[in-house]
Amino acid sequence: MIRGCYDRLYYNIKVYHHQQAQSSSKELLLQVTANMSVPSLKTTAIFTILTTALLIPIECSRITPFEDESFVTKVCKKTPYFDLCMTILFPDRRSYGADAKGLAKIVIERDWNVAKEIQAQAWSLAHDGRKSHDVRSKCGKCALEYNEIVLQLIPRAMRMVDVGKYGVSIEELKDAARKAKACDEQFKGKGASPIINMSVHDISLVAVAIIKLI
Amino acid sequence: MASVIFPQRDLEQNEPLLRAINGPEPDHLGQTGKPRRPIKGIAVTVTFSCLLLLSLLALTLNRPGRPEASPASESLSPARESLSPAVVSRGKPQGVSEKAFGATAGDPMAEVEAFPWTSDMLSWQRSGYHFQPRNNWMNGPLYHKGYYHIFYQYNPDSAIWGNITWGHAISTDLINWNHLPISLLPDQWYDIHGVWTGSATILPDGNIMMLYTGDTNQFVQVQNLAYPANLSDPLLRDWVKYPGNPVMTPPEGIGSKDFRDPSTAWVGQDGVWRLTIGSKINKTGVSLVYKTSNFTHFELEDTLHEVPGTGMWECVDFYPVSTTTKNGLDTSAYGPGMKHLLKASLDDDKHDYYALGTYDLAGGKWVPDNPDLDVGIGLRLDYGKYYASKSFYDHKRGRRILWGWVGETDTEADDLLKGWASLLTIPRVVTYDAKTGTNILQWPVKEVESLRRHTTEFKDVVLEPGSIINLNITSAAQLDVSAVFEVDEGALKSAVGNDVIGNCSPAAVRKALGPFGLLVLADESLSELTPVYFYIAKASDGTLKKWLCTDLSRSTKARGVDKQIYGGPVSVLEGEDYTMRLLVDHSIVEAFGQGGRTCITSRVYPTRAIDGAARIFLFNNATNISVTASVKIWKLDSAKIRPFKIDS
Repeated sequence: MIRGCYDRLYYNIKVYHHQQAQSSSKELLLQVTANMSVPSLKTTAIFTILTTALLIPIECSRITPFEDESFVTKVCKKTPYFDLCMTILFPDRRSYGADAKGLAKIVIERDWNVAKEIQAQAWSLAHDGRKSHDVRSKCGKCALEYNEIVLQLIPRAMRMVDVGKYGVSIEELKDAARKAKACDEQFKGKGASPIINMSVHDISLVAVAIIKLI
Repeated sequence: MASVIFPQRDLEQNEPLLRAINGPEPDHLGQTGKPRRPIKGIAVTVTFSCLLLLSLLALTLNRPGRPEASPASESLSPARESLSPAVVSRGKPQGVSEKAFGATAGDPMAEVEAFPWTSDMLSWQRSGYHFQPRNNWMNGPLYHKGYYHIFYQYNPDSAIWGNITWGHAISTDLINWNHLPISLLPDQWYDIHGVWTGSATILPDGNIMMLYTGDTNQFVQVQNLAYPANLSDPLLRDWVKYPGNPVMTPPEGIGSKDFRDPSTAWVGQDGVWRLTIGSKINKTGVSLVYKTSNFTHFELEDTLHEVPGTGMWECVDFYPVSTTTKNGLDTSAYGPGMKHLLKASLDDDKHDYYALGTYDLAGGKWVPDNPDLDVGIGLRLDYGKYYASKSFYDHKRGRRILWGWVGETDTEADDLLKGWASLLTIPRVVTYDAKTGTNILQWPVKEVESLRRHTTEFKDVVLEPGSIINLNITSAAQLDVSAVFEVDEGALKSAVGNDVIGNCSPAAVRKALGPFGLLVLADESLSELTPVYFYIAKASDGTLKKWLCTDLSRSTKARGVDKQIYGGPVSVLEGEDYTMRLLVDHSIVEAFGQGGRTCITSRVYPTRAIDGAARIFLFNNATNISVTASVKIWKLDSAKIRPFKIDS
């Protein structure tokens, strides 16, 4: 429970900075702890005891948002990409009070939106005369893969969750992850990918993990 | 606008399509084939020509067709015998309606030599007061901030279907129109092959949600959202496509080419919006229902209704009609004192059908009043050349207004020659026919009367059996005609009949009780004439059935033009006279029987009854009854339909 609060504190900072600049959370944590200069061990001990004493009652009052948010955290911990999962679910109001099925749907919806963004980017890059032939051809291949992801795999996965066919949904999402990865792989080792925000692979696997909890 | 081609992956078997776009045009229709080897004898020549012709025919009939990519710059000069550019019957490569004639279905170009149209004849065909850009289907009409808006399917490059964009025009009176720039272009992967039909839903806060069908880079039909860039612009010039498009994709069990034409949405008391999209499952036409709260996230709910054997439902329209007043109702209206009308355009026969019934909002289902006259097997909105109609609620004047698209019934080659194709009917107000209780009435909007000039009236003209009377109106090409025919009830009852009552009889065939009516777009010598008439059929058992008909068989001397007889049953109740209203506008005639119970729209392409030579006649071809006719004829001015100017 204390850990829950601590998680929240830790996570608050993390999320805030995740939104600002994704690489600096580690530095911030260092800063926060660094600012806690230790005048004496005694002061630190008193501080810790007082904080703990305060936190227990707060946690024991079982305020619902804490509980639900903790559920979201629990769920995200069971996914292969905790941070990504939290980024999607934590700021979404619908997560509060949602069960695993509801959370899965929120993630799948985000998956679809991201996939559509990528599809649009890939397609327009494939037709951009200013880009190199290499980029255009690779983006063209991505556009084809993402066509299937956007028009079939993810919508079907969503509907299968609606009707309770979770196994089928998982297969569709794994397929989507595979196809997304195939597109990503093309750009490995050649500097930055021209397509921004390539995380359909990751989001799909987060969704798979959540569906398994239903 | 270049099409997108991914030659390395031809998922949709577009190979012939690609070849057509990339390669040279292999055949020219309308010319006889040339033998490939030197001629040795007449027998060889004939055999080879036949073989070649047959293979050409086979090619044209089996090819999936392609959109006309090249601009119509080749040979637009009139009066050419040869048909160039070659026009292939477009088929259904992308799940889109094909232009096909009724009685002369098939490939008219392969069999009929082109008629030598002169530029006079062709330019006369342009309508005077009907809305008509280069090429159009239907889209999302709406009323906003003082203007009526119409968005129509438009090909900016050619007079035949292709490169579909959204044309845009505005009007303050539904009659005079100003053209605005194209509002939606096919420029995203999800609509690159066409920005197709859509509908507008006006939200209570004034926001306009335009949902439309896009044909993707791989010819999958998806639904997309667009909205005005600036709601405070009364001209609604700029539109934004939602970045998260497509918002709906073909669901399980629905073909990727059977998912189009989202309707206007209606909202329930729970704040949930619903809309319907026509489709088919095997041969059953269905209307799928989607629900949403924000127009970006949609969930498939169920079907609103389905009718076996009707095939694909296009342009589904669903709205309430008041049974107690003559006012229109908002699409979301719900409660007692109304029925719901469900309408579908049947892809299989290119006609618009409707039925009245009851909608259960809670259960999400609509049931027809009369299952024998269900959607697709019963009443038609219009019994002529009329398709893809769409309605909207005119909240300024409290009317339900219906637009219909009227294609050409001449050849595509003729359309390319004249440089334009298709138009829209004069908008019609839809009301419930309380007297019959089984159908709606459609009537041209009152604003069309503002074009009336110069009245001519004829009262109580007695038409003996077999009479034709010239009403001496010259240049009778833009007319508004209102005619009443009195028939003696006693004569009807006593006449002995042995008629086929199943459809219209040709105008020239004289029966006991008809036909009688008007001849429009006729010349003095009656070498060309278009009768619009009532046909009262009496069966041997005494049953009377009344029809409103238009007979095109002698409408023109030209070839390659549809000359069928259109007709629809019309209820004439006890004590009612036979009434008819006609809107004649060069190559289009709209006929309304019994106040709009039955409507017929026709396309007419005369070669002689044009310009000053067009006349109008009254006639009675019955053998047994006289008919007393009273007619009012107004000549109509042309409407102002032109590009919008900032200062106007």
